[in-house]
Amino acid sequence: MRNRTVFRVIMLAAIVAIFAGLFASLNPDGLEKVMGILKFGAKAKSTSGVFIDYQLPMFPYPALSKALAGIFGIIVIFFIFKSIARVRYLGELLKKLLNIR
Amino acid sequence: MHIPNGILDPKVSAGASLAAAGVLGYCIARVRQALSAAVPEAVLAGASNVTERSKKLISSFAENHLMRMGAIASLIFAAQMFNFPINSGTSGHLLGGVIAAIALGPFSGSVVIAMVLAVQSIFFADGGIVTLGANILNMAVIGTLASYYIYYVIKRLFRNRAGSYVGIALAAFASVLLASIACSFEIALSGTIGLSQVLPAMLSVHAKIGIAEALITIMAIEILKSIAFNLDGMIDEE
Repeated sequence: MRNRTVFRVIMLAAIVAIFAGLFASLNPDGLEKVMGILKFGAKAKSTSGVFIDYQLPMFPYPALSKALAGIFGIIVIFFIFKSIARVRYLGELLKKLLNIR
Repeated sequence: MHIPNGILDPKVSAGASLAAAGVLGYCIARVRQALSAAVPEAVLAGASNVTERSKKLISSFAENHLMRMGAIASLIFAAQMFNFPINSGTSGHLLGGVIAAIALGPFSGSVVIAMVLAVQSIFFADGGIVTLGANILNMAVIGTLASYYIYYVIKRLFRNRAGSYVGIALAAFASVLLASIACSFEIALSGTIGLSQVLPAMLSVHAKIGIAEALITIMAIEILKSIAFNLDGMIDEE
């Protein structure tokens, strides 16, 4: 039951990522705007990342690119939490094995 | 409101990182504590052989909670990608701290937002790596953990459905404003620009974003309820 709910939330996240690709505003966000108005934006150093501006590298369709980058992010984030759960479980299995020995 | 590299002084970045690490460490400890405190009931419910059966229950219980955290983190990550226009030439996006805190509990919620910020910074160049600690302090600690207690106090004062909605809206609005105030102080302390300039500018932009945050948070909580996401949570973090 809970897993079905988790699946629904992830599907909802994927739908939101697709909508973000199609309809998100390209204007600067609140902090970027303030950095521009008060002229300290030039101090910002660009950071390297695989998906800069939520775009797949060298992909020709920006909307689809953003949606796919978003879906990648969703998968990474979910699997980080899933792996933490798995590691905990593996830890217990390891303890069990050591006890047997 | 993701601060990029180069905007904060290294000392301010280091101080904010230390504070964020301390609070986040406490949050993780509280989540672990809440998970183990919830286990005896689960064990008593169906276990005669406590050792083996309880181990399995503890694992599946923790795994379920972590999968719920992963699902909410994914949703907030996707929602933060959606920039909505707020006025000419400016956009805003969801912070999502209050959604995470109400859906999972304040400590799990903070961990979730911190993880979202880390992934955004590492893979998407959204927010600097050096400033990650400051971003976690602003959005995961102040915008999630602290803001949750605004909701908690209002909900306790009114003790009805309307009060709960007022609490959600005010906490969500305050989460954005409080995070923008913290961000302004960090920028000013770094000597980047004076507080008298940055604070009013940040507040005027983020007040509008905060109104959108309140509306989206109420909508998100209703959507989560409609897909049977148990908002009472599996563990008691209050």
